[in-house]
Amino acid sequence: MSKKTPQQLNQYEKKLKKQVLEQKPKKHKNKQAELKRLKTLAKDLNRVQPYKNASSE
Amino acid sequence: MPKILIEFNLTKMLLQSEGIDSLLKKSTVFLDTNTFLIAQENEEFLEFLYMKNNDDTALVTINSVVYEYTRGSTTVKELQERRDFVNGIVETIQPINKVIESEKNDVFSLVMSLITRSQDSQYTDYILASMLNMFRGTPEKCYALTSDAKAFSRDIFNVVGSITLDRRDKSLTHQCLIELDERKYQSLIEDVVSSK
Repeated sequence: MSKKTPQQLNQYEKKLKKQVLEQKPKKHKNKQAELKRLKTLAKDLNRVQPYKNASSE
Repeated sequence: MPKILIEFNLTKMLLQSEGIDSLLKKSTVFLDTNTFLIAQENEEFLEFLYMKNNDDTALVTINSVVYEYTRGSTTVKELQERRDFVNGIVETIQPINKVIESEKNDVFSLVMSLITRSQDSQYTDYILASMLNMFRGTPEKCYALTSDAKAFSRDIFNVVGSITLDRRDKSLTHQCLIELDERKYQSLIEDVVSSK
């Protein structure tokens, strides 16, 4: 892995922050449409992988 | 013993203890990690939470729960989607710094150390308990919702309601509504200080 300067590393951090933390919410204004979107999202998340990292239950 | 009302659904079973709707009315509820896991699996429960948050219940959570729910994401896209799912259910992610560092939490953390068995409780559970403590002594209703009721010692917490759901593996799970009991808390401190 090539060496990066602190400024370059900082740029990558900024990029990740922008991608994840500064994402505009995708919420629908219509409640039923938003609920449908969440249900679809849940199905997609269930398909990705069996969830391994559950907190204690 | 609370009465159980039964609502049968074609695909999932949902049981709510009597009076839970009334408890949730005009309250703040902190959701634990397992709540999001179960909402991801159980569509009826997801809908229940969503409708409550869009009615007169404020569903919230904390960053520690978001971390636990999203860890194990293998791509940025999956991470974004998990965070999106959380943000779709809750009204807000409550900041904790001022709560944990507050004077009100100083003594509470000592009490938690005395009553919590390490094998029953994670650090996230302690933070959730601290958030309930912030509402202690105020007229506002505040609860935690979790399957991990044993992490909240009956010495100062009460289970005031429950929702029974089935999971993908066909096991049953109970989401418990937990409150901090002011009288129990005061009584415990009195006992602790008296006995040393």
